[in-house]
Amino acid sequence: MDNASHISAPITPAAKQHATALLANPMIRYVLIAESITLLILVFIAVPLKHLAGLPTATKIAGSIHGIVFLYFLWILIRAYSSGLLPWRLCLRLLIGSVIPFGGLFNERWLRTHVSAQDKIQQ
Amino acid sequence: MIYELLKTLHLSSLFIWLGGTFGVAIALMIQAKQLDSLRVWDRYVTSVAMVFSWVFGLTLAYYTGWINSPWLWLKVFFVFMLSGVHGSLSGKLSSADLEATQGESNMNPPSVRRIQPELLVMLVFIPIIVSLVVFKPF
Repeated sequence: MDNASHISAPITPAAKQHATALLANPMIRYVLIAESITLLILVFIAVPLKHLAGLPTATKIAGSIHGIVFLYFLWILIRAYSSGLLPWRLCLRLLIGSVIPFGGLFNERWLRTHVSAQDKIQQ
Repeated sequence: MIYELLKTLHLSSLFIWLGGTFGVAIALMIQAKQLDSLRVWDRYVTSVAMVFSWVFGLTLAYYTGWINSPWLWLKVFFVFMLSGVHGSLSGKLSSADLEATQGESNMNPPSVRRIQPELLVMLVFIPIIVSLVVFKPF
């Protein structure tokens, strides 16, 4: 999924409603941020340490932590989808964003800025 | 001694977790009232027990060295699917409780008042998980 096209595209009322619901439940956003940061630590700190400094323990530790946070993130997504909080398209967007470095942070920021911008226009 | 302790904690947590999950599935199937108390139970007991099952289970796997066996990873996959089933039921419970409090009737909406597919998944996955850990086939 191309993130750039979503930024330029105007947000639909349905998408805004879902984004508002998402913001009302901060747990999803916190886990999104945690998932993204642990992925960045794994990719940009632990992997270079393993291959350049010869420290395989780094990826073991960072990998386990990221794995646990990622599983929790998936669980939160399943729960949010089943309760009708998020539509499957948004779940898919968050899922794809979560496997790309910076993707989760980007998605979280996108949701925050677009919802607050829309709120200001309406006021 | 540590092994027996970890096993006791792991089994106790998973009985509380799976019992709670079956409770949610069955409450959604019947015309249950007062879903809010079940929602509180699900959040503070069942979900916490799920986390403890994972923590004690993974600790047990490291302690015994089973972490290197393929059967354990297959089991982890099925347990993760079972956690997803719980997440799904827990989400449905939240939305059913919300609809019940907002609507005039305090019964479950008809959309969820049917046999939950999650129940079937649990009935199939639980024997698979138990077989994997009992027989440790590979």
